Amino acid sequence: METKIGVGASNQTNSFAAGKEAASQAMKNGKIERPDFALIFCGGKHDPREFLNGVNEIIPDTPKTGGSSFGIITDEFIGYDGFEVGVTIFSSDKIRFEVFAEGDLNKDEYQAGMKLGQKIQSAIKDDACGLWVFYDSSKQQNPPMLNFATPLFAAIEQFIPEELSVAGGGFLTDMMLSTCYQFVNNEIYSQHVVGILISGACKMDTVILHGCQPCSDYITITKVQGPVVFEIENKPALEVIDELLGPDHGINVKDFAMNVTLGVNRGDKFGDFQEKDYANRLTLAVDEPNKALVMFEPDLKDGAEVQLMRRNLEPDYVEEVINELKEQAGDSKPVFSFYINCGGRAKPFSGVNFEDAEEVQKALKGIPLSGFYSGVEAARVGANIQPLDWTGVLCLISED
Amino acid sequence: MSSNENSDSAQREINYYKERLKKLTSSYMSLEYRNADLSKDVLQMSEGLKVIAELQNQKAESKMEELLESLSEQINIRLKMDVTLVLIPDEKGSFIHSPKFIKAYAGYPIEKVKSLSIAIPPDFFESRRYIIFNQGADEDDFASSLLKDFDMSQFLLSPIIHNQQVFGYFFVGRRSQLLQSGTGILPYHQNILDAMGGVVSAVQNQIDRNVILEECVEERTKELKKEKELTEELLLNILPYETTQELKATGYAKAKDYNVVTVLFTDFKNFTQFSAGMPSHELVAEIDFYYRAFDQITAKHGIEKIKTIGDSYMCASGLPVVKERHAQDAIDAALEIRDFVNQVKEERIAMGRPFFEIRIGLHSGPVIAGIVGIKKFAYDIWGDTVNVASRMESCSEAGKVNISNVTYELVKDEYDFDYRGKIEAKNKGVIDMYYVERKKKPATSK
Repeated sequence: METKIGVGASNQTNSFAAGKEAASQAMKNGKIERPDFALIFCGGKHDPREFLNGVNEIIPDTPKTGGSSFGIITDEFIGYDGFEVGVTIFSSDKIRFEVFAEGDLNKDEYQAGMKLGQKIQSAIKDDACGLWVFYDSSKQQNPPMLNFATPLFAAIEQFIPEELSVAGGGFLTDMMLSTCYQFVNNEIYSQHVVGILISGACKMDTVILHGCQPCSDYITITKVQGPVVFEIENKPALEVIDELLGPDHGINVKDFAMNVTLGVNRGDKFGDFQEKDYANRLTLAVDEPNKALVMFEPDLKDGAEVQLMRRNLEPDYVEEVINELKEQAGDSKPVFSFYINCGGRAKPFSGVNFEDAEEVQKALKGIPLSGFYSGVEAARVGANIQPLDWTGVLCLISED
Repeated sequence: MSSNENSDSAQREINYYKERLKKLTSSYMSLEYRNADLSKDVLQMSEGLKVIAELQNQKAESKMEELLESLSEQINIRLKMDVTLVLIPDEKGSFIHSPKFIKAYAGYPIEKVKSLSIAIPPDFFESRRYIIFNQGADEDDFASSLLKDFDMSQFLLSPIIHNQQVFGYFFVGRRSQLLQSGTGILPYHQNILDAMGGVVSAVQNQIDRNVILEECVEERTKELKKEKELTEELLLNILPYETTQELKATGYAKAKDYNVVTVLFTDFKNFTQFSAGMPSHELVAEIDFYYRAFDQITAKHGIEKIKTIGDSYMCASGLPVVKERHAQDAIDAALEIRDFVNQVKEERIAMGRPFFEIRIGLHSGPVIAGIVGIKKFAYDIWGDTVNVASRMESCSEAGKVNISNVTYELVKDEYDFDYRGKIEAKNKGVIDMYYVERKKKPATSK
């Protein structure tokens, strides 16, 4: 049987109706008669149970997974208002999906990663071709803090083959860090990490879309604790950023969150700019009393030299990267694309005058596309699975 | 130049470019962040404009509830609100409003909010003002109560104006954002809601017009119904009920054969002489007096009036609905007409006023009945039976009911008769004729 993949979306306020509408659309768009597996995502303003009930009106017995997210991307829809939902339904004899889940992320990301990694390892067969890892980013604590991807993926990668393509994303519902939900069949969880093992007569290729360039000279982090950068150049971090923005910049310091991005150049310090050499870290929040920046990840260390990063203002780079992805696919037939895009890259937050996901839609026209806006993205950089900020991780599944 | 001088010069150059880079970074990054901020506004504005553009698709005949439900949904999604609702006055002109058409994020206490009664301060209501409230702004009592009632940290309350009056209010609200300050509620949000209020007003105008129109239609329908009843009544005066129904259903009425009916003719004796000495309007009034009475008598006995020709009154029993006792009914009517005319005669004699005497004749037999012509058409009957019945009348005498032997055979057991013998009827030969005297008295049981 030919592989059929249908994608649907909705942005109704009523969670049940939205779930049902998106699932119906997916069935119709994919001309699907036998739903085998579904990816389901809903915005943070929705009731997850009602959403799931709505989806189950259409595909009650289909294995499914997904979660609540900052926004939704499909072939024809992009939304990040909190009321959008997306459903992708697969029907294939060639591609198999197996779902694994592990909880207690907020207690210990590394342990959760270890347990999930072991489960995945025991299921991996010769035809395994890809792994998606979605996890709850919100630790639900005050001051705002995330579940960190760095220990999570460091644990997982011990259990999976180096050649297995990996893409991951952290669910973040909104700017209030509201409770995040993860769906596994008919169960709704929080503080879980979900692994989806993709196997069969297919392959998964992955590329990273960055879109950032350095715009300052090197500055050194001089005091950091976990994800909180207290000082840069021995001065309070917020003051340094303030200074870099110049006098009378008129920007509310709270809005440094989701805007200020620090890049670490892992290549030649004074060599030509190579985007792939940079690991970017986005600011999650500002700690005003301590004049500190709270980063998405805790991997910036004392003494790290960083640069303030700016966003690419032209969309051309998207097409270039996607062409590279299509080349990777070679003679295989692309059947599905999946995009995990940083919430900060959505147009209202990115500061650039184009919608990055729209460029992805255009470049992949004709190939079913779905995805979600995330807090943190993850993909292989070299041999390691690297948590990333202000990036888009794009996967292309192709059949032999 | 010494190496120290070279080194100093190089350092100055480095410092110069570092400073330039810093300045460029400053202006560039502040521009970028401001751009991000503005971009949020522009995006929301364009979404707001989309909502307004979509209003063009709103049908003018929309029901108000459906319109408000749809607007509330669109506002909430497009303008990225956490809560949108419409405050509707409990009664027209009331300051007490109830939240309706609530659209909100999961977890918002919709049922609790639905049960609230929001008192709009009279001066605020009269002023038709709006409120934009953002975090940190000064709160007056009303703003404070709205913040508390709707559990929002920033909101816009925008009046829906209809015919210079407040029809209700749009309320939109957002929660405070943990990570960013957010741009809050801006004046253009009010502009968008104002435009939507305009649509609500336009639809309400249409609804008001429809109500007036419906009242007019109802009134006109009543008039038409009355006119129709009048027309039908008039038609029934001209045609039998069954024929009117056939005419209405098919547009025409077919002539029908009847095997046997009884035809009755009356004629006033010496009418020509009588009318010669009487003013026309008095004569018409006299005839009208008698014919009205005949109409009542024939109707009472279920007899179909066919027509009057001068002083002659013609009716038939047994059509258009066939009935078994057509002859008896016709004779009963004839006797009653005879008695009525005789009674009037006696009264007139007593008063010394002129009076009529009447001849009545009946015959039974087959006829054809129907309508002919297209103007001033009338239901009529044709056949030899009609002619014979007319002869029965002309062969009758004043104050007598003359029947043919055919009719006699149908009723002979029920009346007392005076056999008149065989009498020559013009063009019809000799016919046995009978005067009907009275209905037989029922036999008294011993």
